[in-house]
Amino acid sequence: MRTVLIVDDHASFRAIARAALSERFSIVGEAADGVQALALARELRPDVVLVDVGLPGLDGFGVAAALAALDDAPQVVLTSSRDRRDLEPLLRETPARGFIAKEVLSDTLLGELLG
Amino acid sequence: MPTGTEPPTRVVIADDSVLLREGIAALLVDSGFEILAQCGTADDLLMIVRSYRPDVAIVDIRMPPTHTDEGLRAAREIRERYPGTSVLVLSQYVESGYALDLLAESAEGVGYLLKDRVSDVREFAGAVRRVAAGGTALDPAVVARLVGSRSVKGPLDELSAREREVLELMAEGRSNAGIASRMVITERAVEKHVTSIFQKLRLPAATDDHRRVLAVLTYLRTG
Amino acid sequence: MSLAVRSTYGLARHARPVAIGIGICAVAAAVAGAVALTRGAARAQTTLLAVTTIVAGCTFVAGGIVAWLRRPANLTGPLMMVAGFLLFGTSMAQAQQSVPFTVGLVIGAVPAAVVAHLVLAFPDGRLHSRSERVVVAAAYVDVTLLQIAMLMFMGFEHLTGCPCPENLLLIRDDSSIHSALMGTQRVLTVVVTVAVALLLAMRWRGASRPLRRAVAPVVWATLVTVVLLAAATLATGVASRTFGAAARIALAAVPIAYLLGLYSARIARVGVSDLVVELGRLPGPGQLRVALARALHDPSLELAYWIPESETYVGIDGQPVAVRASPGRTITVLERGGRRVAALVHDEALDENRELLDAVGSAAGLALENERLQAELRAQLEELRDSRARIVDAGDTARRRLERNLHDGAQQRLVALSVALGLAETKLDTDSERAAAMLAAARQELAAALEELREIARGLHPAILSRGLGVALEAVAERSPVPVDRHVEEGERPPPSVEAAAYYVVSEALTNVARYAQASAATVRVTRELGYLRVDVSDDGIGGATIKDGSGLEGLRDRVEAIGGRLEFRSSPGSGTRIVAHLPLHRRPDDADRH
Repeated sequence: MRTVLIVDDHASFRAIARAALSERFSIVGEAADGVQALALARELRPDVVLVDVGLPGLDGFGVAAALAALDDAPQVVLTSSRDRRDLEPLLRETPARGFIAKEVLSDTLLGELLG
Repeated sequence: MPTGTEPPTRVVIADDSVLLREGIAALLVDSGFEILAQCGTADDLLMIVRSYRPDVAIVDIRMPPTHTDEGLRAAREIRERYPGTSVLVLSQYVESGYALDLLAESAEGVGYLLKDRVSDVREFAGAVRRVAAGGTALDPAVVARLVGSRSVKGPLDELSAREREVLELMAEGRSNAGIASRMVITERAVEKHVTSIFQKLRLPAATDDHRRVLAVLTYLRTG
Repeated sequence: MSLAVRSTYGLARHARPVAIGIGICAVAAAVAGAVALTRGAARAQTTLLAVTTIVAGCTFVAGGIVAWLRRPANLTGPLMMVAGFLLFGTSMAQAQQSVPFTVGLVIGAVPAAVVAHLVLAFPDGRLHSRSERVVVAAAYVDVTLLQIAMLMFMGFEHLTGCPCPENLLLIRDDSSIHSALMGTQRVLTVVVTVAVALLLAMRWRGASRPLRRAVAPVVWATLVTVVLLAAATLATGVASRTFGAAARIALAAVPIAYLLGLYSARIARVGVSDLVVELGRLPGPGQLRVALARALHDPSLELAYWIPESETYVGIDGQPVAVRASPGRTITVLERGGRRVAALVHDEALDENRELLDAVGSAAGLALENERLQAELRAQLEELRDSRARIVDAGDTARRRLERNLHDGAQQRLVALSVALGLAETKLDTDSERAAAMLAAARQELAAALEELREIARGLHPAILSRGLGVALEAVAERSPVPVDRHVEEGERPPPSVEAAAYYVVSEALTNVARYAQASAATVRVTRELGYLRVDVSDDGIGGATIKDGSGLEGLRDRVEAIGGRLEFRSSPGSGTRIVAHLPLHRRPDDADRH
């Protein structure tokens, strides 16, 4: 099973994402901000990092860029509750693997995105 | 009303009942705590503690799969691996054995409360704060059971009614200030009672509140 | 109502009997002196000299008593009395017995040194600089040590007017030594006199006008005395004695000159009545300070008005000012009917002239109150401007907060709800138990989302208020984790803006209690008083809150004041917190209130 690190500043989403993904993925860590996310990513070496775009301070795009620089970098999937269309320009530039809108998150969809 | 800007105490809650989790979370948020995460299994609890390093983890003793003592074992593991995180264990019934197991080596940053205790918001919030700060909280019902279970006549009977009360409050993990406000007497009076109790029970003086709890519990258990 | 000047001076209760005692002694000493002088009239060089000495002694003692009664803390009075008694004492040099004779000779020149001390210490009785102290010390050495040394080598057999009684200090009669000492004494006297004159001149130059007014008479009298004394020393024979007598008369005038300075208030009453007339013409704002400065002859006078509500001093423009004493300037607080009204910062020389300050203060009474009210009005206008700016800010902030609350709260919950439903959907066939659990969790999430939306709506406008304040407050109290003791007075419904303000005060206050106070109980009391709705929320917690610490209290105050109300706030560490809002119940004409 692939290991996942969930990063979101809303506790309710972290909880429901954990519930939704734990069937097909192993949740090894959770973080509420970008800095903590990077620290845990280095420590736990997850296969996948699911990260909210709208984090305070270092945002999802920043985390994706930082993680891309690691050796044996994890696959980063961005997520958000805001309108995807507002994010299109940034999504084109990011090294992240893909984007999933929060409300349709499921383990199947994530699996399909990751391949 | 705020005295200064102290950061709120960071809490995680582990209980397989979603309703109880949410209830405890709401009640603690209203009292100024920060709830970082909730979960329903011991494994998730360890993952959460590892991820967030909270000040305190509130854990139900019984959790899936076996619903016996998963919470207890997780609590012990947390105390060992993450000493910065205190643990407050919640239980449906008075299980003195489990309580004393939990406090076996150290009472520092450990608590055991009955789920009923949650309904008294002020007491519960106070206990969570105390445990998060490295103190102890032992449910009064457990302490009463321990004190009352002694059938053999001993030095315990030499204590006055007041001293008995102080003894029980000490065993619950309260500080002198907490005991004083609870019994509506002065801290000096509490200190005098404590000294007298320790003398009568022939216990060595304890430096911290949680060491004091250990001393008292050890005495109550073994005699 | 008269304006009372709070003065730090006053007659000590024990002063009168002491003064009477001193007076009696003085009379006795004067009589004794007069007797001695007439007995030894042959030896005394002239009766004129004798009489003038006694007269000078009397004026000094009398002046000293009066000065001491009026200004007990001022050393000038006692110094004058000492000089007076010493002057009487010099007449002992006319005695027939050797003891008084010798003592009289010893103290013969001391009065002059005391007067030099006096003159340099005017008007407050203290020496202020090192040079002053050195000069006075030199003067005392001149008249005591040098005099005694001279007497040790001076026999009196060969002097005119003798045979004299024995000089008890005589070691041996040596005219060369005693002339040398006398010469030294003369030189030192001249040096000291010149030094005193120089110091006085310097002080005059650096003095403010009120100070000059106070010391001018004394300085003149001293100058005349010194000039006459110098003439007496330089001249010889009859001319010398005449100058000496004239010098003593001038000396006698010094205490009178001092008292004149002290009482210049009476003379300055002319200035005060001018002031009263001027004030009657109701000058414009800020003119009062000018008028007072003119009446008190202190152009640098500052006037600050006291605002009791904010417990600060403000200038006429309503801006806060710092009222501070600085070197050479003191503060006098003006009261009216026992309440503080204003503060004057003035030259310290005026401290010696309390009567004048009194008179001016009384005259200015009504004008002062008038100006104070104007200053208070301006200060309030300033606060009003600030409050409006805060309210506009608060509006923007509230909108931002609303957006954030919607995003962070209800929106996230709906997101989570959506995921949960999606999960339930996939599990329906395969794992119905899990699906059921997911649906239950989804329902919970939905309930929470609804609750959040309700909270947000309540924050926008609490719908429950439409059922009345009593019911709304009951709901707020029930939501509080801390037990709330409620007393809400029944009555006619207040205007909606008042109900809303009352609701928010209670709601915000109880939220703070739950979050920070660690209290065991809170009390909410709503009553009607004299056209106001009084909302009182208190708790028994740890207190220590302040209005500017982000607890929402400043916004509450703005909201309360925006409808013409007042918010009081008391919180000390350890004794809980109390918030009291007074909300006016009467509608203003432009209220568009409708229930």
